[in-house]
Formats: sequence, C-alpha cells, structure tokens
Amino acid sequence: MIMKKKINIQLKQITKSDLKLLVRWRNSKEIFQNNTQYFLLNSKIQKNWFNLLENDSSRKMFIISYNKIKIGICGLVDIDSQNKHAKIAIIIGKINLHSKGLGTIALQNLLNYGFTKLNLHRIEAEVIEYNKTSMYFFKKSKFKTDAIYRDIVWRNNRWWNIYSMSLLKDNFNKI
Amino acid sequence: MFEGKLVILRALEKEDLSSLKEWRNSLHVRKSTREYKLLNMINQKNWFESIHQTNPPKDIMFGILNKRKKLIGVAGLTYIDWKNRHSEISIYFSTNNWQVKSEAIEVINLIMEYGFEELNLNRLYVEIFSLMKENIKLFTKMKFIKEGQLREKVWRQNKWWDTLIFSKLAKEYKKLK
Repeated sequence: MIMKKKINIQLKQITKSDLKLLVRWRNSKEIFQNNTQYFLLNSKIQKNWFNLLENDSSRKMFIISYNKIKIGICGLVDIDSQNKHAKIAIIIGKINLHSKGLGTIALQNLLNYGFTKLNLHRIEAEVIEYNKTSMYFFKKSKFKTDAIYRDIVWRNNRWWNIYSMSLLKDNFNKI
Repeated sequence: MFEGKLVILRALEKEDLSSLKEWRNSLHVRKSTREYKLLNMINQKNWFESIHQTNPPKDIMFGILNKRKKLIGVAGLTYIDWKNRHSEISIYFSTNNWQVKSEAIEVINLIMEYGFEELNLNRLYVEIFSLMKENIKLFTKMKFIKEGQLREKVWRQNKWWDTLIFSKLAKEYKKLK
C-alpha cells in the first residue's frame, strides 16, 4: 500500500534569526519584481521592520514552515479592527518549491487565522497585472477582483495596473 | 495661494484645527471619512504634526477660503506616493450638501491643476463609501473613472458598505483641458 505523505505546513512566529533569510528572499529577482517595494533591503531595514512588528497590532506576520523547513513568509497587514479587514502578504521564498500547492495550504491557514481568530470580515490581496501566477493563486482560493487600479505602479519603464482582490468571510470554507 | 473665481486655497494653519475638529465631528463629514472616532484637539494636533514630518510630504493640505476670506472647508492631497506618482484627493466643507455647489467643483479643479501640473502626479483618486451618493455624483460629473467597488469594506450605520474607487489620470486631465 502506498501511503501518501501528508503535507505538513505550519505558520510560525518570526524570530530574529529569520531576518537574513527574509532579506535574501525579498531581494531575489523572482520576488522583487512582483512586489511594489522598489528598493533593495539591507539588514538594517529588515531589523527595523522586525522591531516595529512586535508592538504593531495592525500587522501579524508568520514564517511558513514545510516539514520543518522554512520556505516563506506570510501575514496580514493594515489590519483594521473597526471595519474588520486586512491585506494579505505572502511570499514563498524557496522558488524550487513553487507550484506544489504549498502556498495554497499556507494561504488557507492564514485565512483561517484571519477569519476565525481575528474575526475579520474581509481579506484583500493586491496583485500587479503581470503577476498571473498570484492572480490564479488567489482565484483558486475564491478571491474575486473588486477593482483594477489603473496605472498605479511604475515598473520596468512603464505603468501597470494593480488588481484588488478580496475574499469575504461568508465565502471562506474552512478546510 | 491658489485663487479661483469663487474660492482661494491657502496653506492649512494650526489655528484652523479647532474649526476642522468641529466639522470632522459633524455627521455630514463623519459618515464619509475613514475616521470613526470623535476627534479631540490632541488628535488634531498630532495629525497636524504628523503631516509635517516627512520631506517630500505625504500630505499637502489647504484651507478653503471664500472671497470674504472666511474658512469654509479643507482640501488636499493625501497618501502622496512620489515614486508611483499618485495621491488621494481629500475634500470637505463646513456645511452639509456641499457636493452640489460650484465651490466644490472649483476646489477639485484647483487641486487637480496643482497635482497634475505642478507636482507631476499621474493618477489622482478618491475612495467613496457607497452610502455617499452625493460624492459619487460629484466625481462622476467631474469625469473621474470608476475603477471598481471594494466589497463590504466599511461598517457604518449598522451594516456593511462597499467603497468605490474613482480616479483620473494625467493624460485624461490634459485631454479635457
């Protein structure tokens, strides 16, 4: 009998020792081009980011761990507790582990955290129009496009649109 | 100072803050803005300090004067993104139902002139709560394009409301001039 190995994805607290990894991921070509951040990170910027994170109730960030290996980072930012919404941030830094469904499981865990634990009503994702992979990624988890911000970001010598996608609590099926 | 036929835009001053506080706490402004708390002078002063912290500024605010030099409203550009050259337009007046007045149109035109022609911005936008029919009408009339509708994004008056994003690009502004 062939046993299918269970994919073990966990969201873990970020520690100081993870910061080097984060800098490497976020500065990599594949990740950098799909983000709106336009400058390369150094360890000082990343450290400041980490220090501010601790006392910031508007952001909850996690390391994504796959069979005990750290493969990415995800979280909720701009958490608005009055209107119960937040934006998603997610990166699978280990490029060779893309397109294996690991991100989707991490996303489901994160959505579950947002909708169940934080009791959010709406979670939003913003995707640059050329990032078809991410658009498909969120669509698969039932995100819908609410708006297309025209010419809102300048990258590689031209203007691009950003897709604003969202998922409402009522449309989220727990796994 | 930027002068129109009906109004003048001047830099917002600290002395304006107590008027602003009254207006922002009045229902006609409160139901249209992201702020849900009632504001006191500490909030106002902190906000005023915060918009003077960065250079180039993230927010550029004006007091709106009528021709008798009386302060009648506030307008400006907020969340200015100097890299991607976009910004949100913020505007409100002391009185209810300002959206139908010619002064409102003139203020938005002055703000667009400043944003597009002086600051070289590429996109100016507004986010309007779906309950604010007057604002939707105003920006539609001013040929802003609706980019979409963010579902159930705000909680007001005991229910969820969508917010509508309207924008105008520099090329559209220049074509209409």
